[in-house]
Amino acid sequence: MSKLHVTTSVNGQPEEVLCEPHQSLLDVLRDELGLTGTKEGCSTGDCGACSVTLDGRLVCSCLVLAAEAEGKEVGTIEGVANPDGLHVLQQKFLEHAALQCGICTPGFIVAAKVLLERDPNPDETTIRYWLAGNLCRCTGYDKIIRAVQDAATELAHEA
Amino acid sequence: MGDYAYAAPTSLEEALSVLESQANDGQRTQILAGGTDVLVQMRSIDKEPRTLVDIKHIAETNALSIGADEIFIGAAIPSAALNENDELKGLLPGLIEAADLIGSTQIQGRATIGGNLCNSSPAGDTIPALVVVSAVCVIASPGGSREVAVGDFVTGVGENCLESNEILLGLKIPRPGNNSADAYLRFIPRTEMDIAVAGAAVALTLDEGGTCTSARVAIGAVAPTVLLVEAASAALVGTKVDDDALNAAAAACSDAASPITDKRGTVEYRTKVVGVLCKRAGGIARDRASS
Amino acid sequence: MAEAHDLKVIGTRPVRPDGVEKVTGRANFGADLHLPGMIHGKVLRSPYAHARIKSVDVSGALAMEGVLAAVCRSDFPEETDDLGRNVIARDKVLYHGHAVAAVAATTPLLAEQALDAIKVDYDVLEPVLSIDQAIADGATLVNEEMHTNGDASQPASNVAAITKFERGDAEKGFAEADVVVEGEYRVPMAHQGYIEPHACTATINEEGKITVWCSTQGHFDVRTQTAAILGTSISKVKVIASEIGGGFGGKLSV
Repeated sequence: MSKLHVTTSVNGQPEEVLCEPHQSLLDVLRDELGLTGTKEGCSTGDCGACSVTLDGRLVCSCLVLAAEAEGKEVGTIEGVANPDGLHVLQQKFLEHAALQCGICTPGFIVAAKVLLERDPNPDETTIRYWLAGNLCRCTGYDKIIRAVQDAATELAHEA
Repeated sequence: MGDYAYAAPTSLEEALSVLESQANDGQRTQILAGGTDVLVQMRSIDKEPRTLVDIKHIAETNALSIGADEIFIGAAIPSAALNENDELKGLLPGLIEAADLIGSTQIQGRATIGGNLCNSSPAGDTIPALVVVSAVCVIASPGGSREVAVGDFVTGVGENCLESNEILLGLKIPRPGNNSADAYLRFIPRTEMDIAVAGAAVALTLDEGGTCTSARVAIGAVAPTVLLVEAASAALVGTKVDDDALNAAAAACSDAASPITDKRGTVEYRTKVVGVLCKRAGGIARDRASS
Repeated sequence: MAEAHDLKVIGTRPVRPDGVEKVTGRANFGADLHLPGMIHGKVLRSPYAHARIKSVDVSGALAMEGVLAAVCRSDFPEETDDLGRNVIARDKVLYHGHAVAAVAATTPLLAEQALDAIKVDYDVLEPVLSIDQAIADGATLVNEEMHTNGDASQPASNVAAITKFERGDAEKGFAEADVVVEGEYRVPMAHQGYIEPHACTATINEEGKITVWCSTQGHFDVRTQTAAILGTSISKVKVIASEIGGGFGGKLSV
């Protein structure tokens, strides 16, 4: 089987990888690029632990072939914090204890970040529906919703 | 056993020729649009290696046009992009709602209406919604293109009339007039991320007095394929789409349903619920058409 | 009682010590370790709920390029217990999905394809699919090594254990009660539903020293059990627990 040469950008950095045709973007991020912050939960698009952005759109990286990322911009949890420190969402997840085991946390933060970029002031229902594809077994979701709401409020003040 | 391979043709001609040449080499092919069904099935149900032919780089499958008479939705456009198009949402609210019901935000970033149709599940949410708006599949074949009504496209559970050397380019839908509207409702135990226990779509046209002049009703997840329920349509035409008419349409849907009992619901439950969904969707379509 | 200002933690909102690692994606979970030259394992599982294994032939898998190892029951110590039988089926498969063989290959896909090259000859037996069926008189015996509450003086049984919870004189309580409500209650099987699948990376060196990195709720148990299953000493096994992406009791044993 011949490998495919894929040129992409991950968190703003140009990347070139050789991948198998069947390999998912998730596999390549984790196994080829060493970006293990993106987690594998179900590999069927149900749990959202592998959430990344592809040209700004939220997707499950388990349901994208690495080959499909050719020429695209990929955003992962590793690109969320900035050189000055944590992103507001990351800070609020900590403050609200919106994580326990933490396996779902990168996916939630990546997903919530896309939401706040599109809708800076979402109501609770909007947040719950937007994050319905991210499963969490520990927190019961409520603290996550509060953290996202609080992050939205803080970002609005900063703006 | 062949190998996995990936091709991303940039023109329709190239895509058709990839399908042809791979078949000539004895290699299985699989069209890849959003991939949200294909990749899951490829890793679980049917692991046989194949060439994945990505149709997302073809102009025709990315086309979205809203003309004076006709709307065209390319087969590679993800649901999220359709949902962001206010004009489309205004013209075909039921269809876009159906697409918006499929999977999570993440899934909608990839999943397409064309893919939902080609997956041909009895519970595919967009299929009843496409049937009631008289959508037609535009299919590219080696010899040219052909058109098949959505109602005739799906032939069984997971089966359709698309040949292995053909590509579904998109869906052609007559532009609804001002007094026309559609609606789709499904029932699931939770409000997101599930597969329909039953679904019902209604599209109708009212005259200026509010009398229904034409109607189409289709039901999903209650038979091997989506059913167009003529008796339910007949129950609405000529009425003001009042409760009596909607109850008659609901009864017609329950009569037409021939569901199975599975983990999502029993025969009795689905039979009843599909009528309720028809009634409610009919009410929504009526209110939309009259506003 | 101490004054509030004397308390270091109570009354504050402490941030969990592993929090920053987890919100940035730096925390290492079970599958996050990548070693140089790492190979990948896959397990062949029984398609039957109850069957006698007549033979397992892994030679087809071993013949494939890129497949480095293939193991089945004959590769494990003969003397074993329930856990050892659970890890790899011996005479019989006891449930649908019971591990029958395993392969290691240079890529996950190759490992998966190698599973198809393993030949298992089963003598399919009657499955026992409900509690009622399992406890009925003359029930088909699934695990011939199992005795209720481990009492080997009794014949083998499908009943693993009988546990009674009692407090006081229950009979007297019922006799004196104004109303006695009786019912039969059934609960379905449940999975813990953790989001992180089981994952493990291991090395073994020329001296037989084993290091296991895994997602577990009990790394000492994993050490003891790994040594027992492989027939080696616990002093040869080191287990390093990763962050755990949920366990809820489902990641207690190997």
